[in-house]
Amino acid sequence: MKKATLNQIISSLATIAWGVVPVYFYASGTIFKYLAPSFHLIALIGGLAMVVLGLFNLIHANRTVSCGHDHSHEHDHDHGHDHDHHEQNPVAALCLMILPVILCTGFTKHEYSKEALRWKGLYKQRTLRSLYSNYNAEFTREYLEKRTPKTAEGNFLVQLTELYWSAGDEKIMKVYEDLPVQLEGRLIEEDPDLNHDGDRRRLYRVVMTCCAADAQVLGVPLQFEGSLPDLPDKTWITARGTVTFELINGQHFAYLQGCQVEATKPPDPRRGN
Amino acid sequence: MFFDTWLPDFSYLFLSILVEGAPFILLGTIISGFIDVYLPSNTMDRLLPRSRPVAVVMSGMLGIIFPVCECAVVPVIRRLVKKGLPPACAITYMLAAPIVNPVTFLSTYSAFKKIPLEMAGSRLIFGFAIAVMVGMVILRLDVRRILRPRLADEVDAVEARRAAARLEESASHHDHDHDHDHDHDHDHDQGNRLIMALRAAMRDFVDVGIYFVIGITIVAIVNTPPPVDQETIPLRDYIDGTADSTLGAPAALMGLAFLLSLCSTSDAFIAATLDAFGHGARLAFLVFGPMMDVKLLFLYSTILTRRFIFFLALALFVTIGAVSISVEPFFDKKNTLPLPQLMEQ
Repeated sequence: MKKATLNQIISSLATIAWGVVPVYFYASGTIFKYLAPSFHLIALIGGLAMVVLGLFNLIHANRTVSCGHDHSHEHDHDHGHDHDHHEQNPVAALCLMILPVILCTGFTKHEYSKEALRWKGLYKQRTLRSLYSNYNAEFTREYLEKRTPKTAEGNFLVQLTELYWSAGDEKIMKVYEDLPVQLEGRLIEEDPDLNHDGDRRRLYRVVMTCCAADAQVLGVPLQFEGSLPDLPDKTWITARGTVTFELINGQHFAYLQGCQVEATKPPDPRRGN
Repeated sequence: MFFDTWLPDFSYLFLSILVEGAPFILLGTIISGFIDVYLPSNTMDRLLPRSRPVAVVMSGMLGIIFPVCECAVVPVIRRLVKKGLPPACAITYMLAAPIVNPVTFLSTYSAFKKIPLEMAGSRLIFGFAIAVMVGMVILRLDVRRILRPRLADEVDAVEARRAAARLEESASHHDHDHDHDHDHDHDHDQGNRLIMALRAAMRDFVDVGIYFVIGITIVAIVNTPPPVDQETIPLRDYIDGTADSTLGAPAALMGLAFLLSLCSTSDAFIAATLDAFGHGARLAFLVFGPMMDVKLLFLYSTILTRRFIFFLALALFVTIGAVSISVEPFFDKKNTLPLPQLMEQ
């Protein structure tokens, strides 16, 4: 086999390998764990295009094509064609494009480990004062009650993210204080340094803007009056409780008091993790 | 610990960046493949103004008509340089296009709800101005100091062909009897040309893909907790500690943009959450990131010499840092206005 044909085949396989990954993620529904929704369709179309491009070149790998003119003619006027004919190193394409993708697809667990969740800020409280300043109307308890749906038991269906970001702005904290809410997220152990009485676990969600690399992990502690729920870490749960704020080392944290939780199905996978 | 947590986390991050960026690289390389086969070499001469400085300014605005992000632009300009686009124009387009385009403008506009037009507008203006400044400097530099040797050779060959064509043209003006007989057939087989275009696209895809992998490997390593037992401080915590420093804040956010290697179409939503920092520092994040980050460092090395990339990175860091510090007071003033929507006031 000619070196050029071998290069062509390996490059085609590398392109196909790169295309198969997003197509597989999309088909299996795991794309939601990797990318923000605005990138899903781009990834699918891009993946399919890579597969088609790779297959097309694989099928024509052995075909000698000519642009129809003699490249060896002496007078070098501008005839409109100056294609480069360099060949890639097939070992580089194999080692840097095919192997990493195969290995990473084998090793990935499609989510962060507990260590990575901690590293990404699971137990940190960050402030985002600008979030509530985006509302044109005054953000009051009445406004919150008017726009937020309620469960039959009277708990407000609040997003974990909005509760998380409410800590840090004292005016907003007053709006949420003592509000009975129902949240959805994943359960995990509480940081021992924040759980002196041993009566807490934590609810978290992973929020991404582009892809998992930029994800932020937002967590809210759940305080239980009785025994802690006997559910494994990372179980999807519905948590009901009353919003309370506490001051730790000069920083406000939101948490739910008097919690009741129950395992639930993960939300629609198209809404992410 | 390495196999249980580090490797799965690294793989997760690596794949997430790969599936996000690869479609844009593919788009760029397909355009590049078709440019290779279907675009005649002298097209650039016909399209660009004769004055090089004017051509540089125009190149800085091309992103409005041909909006591409930073991953897609590299293979496109690599091919355009081979087709005769002056390197100064190419690099201006490369730096400006990810910022000076409607998609990036709109995403920045919607991310910064408090001062949308100010942020989106200043990002666009500074991105354009800095790219044009770089282009103007490059106009004065020797191509061989900027481009990789093989690409520089091809640029020289294009220049030689141009010179020959000009000579031929002027000779034909003086000697109307000159019989120039093009006897080769330009009516090529369209099937062959399609195969050539797609072959060139794939070759570029693999060329750029190899460097992209090196870049995203580093990004994934930086964003994965190290496989050691003792607790380490995450990058974000170091960065947050600089928020009140005049010099440190823009420097830290440019460093963060460099390491995160976000897509310019959506990085504004990350910048919007960094509200411990001033708007000037966040502007530095939004202008520096699309021009220079870890993955781009490797993508640029398919075109530019390492030495030039180093100086380009340094110049961008200093210039954008200085701009960000100088505009911060204007943003501060804006923030203290008693706007009714600013609830915290």
